[in-house]
Amino acid sequence: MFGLNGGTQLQLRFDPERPIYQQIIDEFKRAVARGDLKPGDRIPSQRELATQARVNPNTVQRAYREMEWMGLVETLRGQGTFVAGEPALLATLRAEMADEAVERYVGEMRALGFSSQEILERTKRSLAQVKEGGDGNDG
Amino acid sequence: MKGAFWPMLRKEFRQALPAAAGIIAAVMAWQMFLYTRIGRWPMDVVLIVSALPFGFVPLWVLSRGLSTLRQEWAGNHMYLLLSLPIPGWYIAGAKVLVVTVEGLAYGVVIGAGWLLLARGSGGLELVALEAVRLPWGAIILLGGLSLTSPLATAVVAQFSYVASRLAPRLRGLALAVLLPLSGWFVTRAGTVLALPFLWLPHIDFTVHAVVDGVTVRSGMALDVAPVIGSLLAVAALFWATATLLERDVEL
Amino acid sequence: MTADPIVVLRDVYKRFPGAEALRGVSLDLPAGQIVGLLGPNGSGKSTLLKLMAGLYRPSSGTVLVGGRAPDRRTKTIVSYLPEVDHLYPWMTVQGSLEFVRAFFADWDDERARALLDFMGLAPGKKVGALSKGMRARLRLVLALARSAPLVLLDEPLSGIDPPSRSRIVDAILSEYRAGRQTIVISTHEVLETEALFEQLVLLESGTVKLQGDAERLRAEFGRSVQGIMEEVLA
Repeated sequence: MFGLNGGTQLQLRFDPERPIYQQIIDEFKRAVARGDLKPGDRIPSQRELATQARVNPNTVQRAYREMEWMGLVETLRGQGTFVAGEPALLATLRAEMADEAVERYVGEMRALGFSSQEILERTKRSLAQVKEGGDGNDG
Repeated sequence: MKGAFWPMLRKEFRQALPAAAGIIAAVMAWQMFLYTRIGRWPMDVVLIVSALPFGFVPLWVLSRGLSTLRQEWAGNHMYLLLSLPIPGWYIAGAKVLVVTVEGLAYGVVIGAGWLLLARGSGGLELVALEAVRLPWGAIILLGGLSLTSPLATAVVAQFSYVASRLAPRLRGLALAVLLPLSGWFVTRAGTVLALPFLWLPHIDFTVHAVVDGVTVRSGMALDVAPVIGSLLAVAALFWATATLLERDVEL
Repeated sequence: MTADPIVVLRDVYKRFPGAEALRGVSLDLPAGQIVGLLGPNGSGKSTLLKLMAGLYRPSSGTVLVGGRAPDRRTKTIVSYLPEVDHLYPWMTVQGSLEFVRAFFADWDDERARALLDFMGLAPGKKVGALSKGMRARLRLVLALARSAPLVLLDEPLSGIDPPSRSRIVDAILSEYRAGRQTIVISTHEVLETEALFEQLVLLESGTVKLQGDAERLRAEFGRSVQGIMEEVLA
């Protein structure tokens, strides 16, 4: 959703079954974690994002407000909204998202009845396959 | 919005053009046909027949008054008109004006045609003379002219149609009742409203006719009070129409 | 945005010969939001919008738009897009715009021109000669070329070809003055309007079955607006 050029390439893939403002925030975090957005980068204005993603502007506003409150972005009057200039931001976000992803994965596996050992085994196998299959960058 | 009456009037005029043009074209064609009958048919017959349409004018005005409103509902244009922030008289006034002008136009075209035919028969003979020679021609002519003028007819048609729209069912029946009722109202109320104006003098005029070199004069007098009375009654009906359009009428 | 609600309905009934379109509807519509008026055909959505626009009067109950019962004054702040073809077929596209513009002080010429362009409408073409989809686009241009505080769109996408639909949604979004304008969109299928709505009102058989913030309802139901509709209006 948040492209490298600060918003000109926007592909909306949101899940209509979950609050959209939350997904905007999540996507932003992912973009930062991937390195697509770096501290100081400009992100699309609320209006731009709303129009291009076909989302209610107030929903976008809500997401931006939360991101601002969370310290993820900062808005400079007359200039736009930028990724927070915090250097540690990248590391923090990656860690946060990694932990969330792992928790989700482990939770799902456990729900299927796998033991910790089995989970580890399967994870190792999956990682080995990915290495062989491709360079892992486009999943 | 101020000044928005004129766009409404323009729209009404353009909307009415096709139908009015059609009627006028038909009348003209009829007159032209009659022109070719000069010499073949007796002159009296030609002149009477060419004056016949006068009798239809009130009917045409009535029908046009009804249809300019009906088509707004039938064509879903009421969705547009009722969403405009305008007083009811913009709509009613524009329509009444246009239909009245239509009626006058019909009268003028018929009268002009008749006059041309009269000339074409050789020797200018005026109304009064023809009337003397052909009593029943006079009845048709005068009846057509003086019968409810286009304005009153248009207002009666409009009021009846708009008021009939308020009926939840059997609108056709309501219309059929309201038309004669409002017509009756105009004449009755006209008589009553004329009372305060009876002191006004008559308007006298004379009609000159030249027949075989001899000048004949006929005097005619027009009473002002009844005219004023009728106009007031018509105004009241118009006001009612405008109010209904703005406050009560629905899609 | 805790200002006064822009539309208030209290126990509104609307009866026609042989049908009761609205039965005891009470509703407060918050100002400055995009409201989705959802429900199956015949649920009373159109009737509700027409009451707000002043095209119908309630059989009983009160309707308030901007604090007043609908009249000439409220019509200045309402921009209504009907579901039907209501324009004069003998007028040109440009002529229709000029006609409507004459009656509204909040008409925006530049926006009208931009919207005409965006919608691909030729100013000189007669309305009667346009296709159904183009006529729908023109109607929307007329509704959006004003800065009306309350915009009522009755099924703006119904029966419209897909390219026109996208254009229409884009136009609505790009012209929307968030916080200063209230847009009410009625539809019986959600599809591309899924993320547009901030407030939802679900109608069925003339009564309000559900009303609330769209995001909150998504979280509560764990379903999309489409899914919520299916569940509530089962």
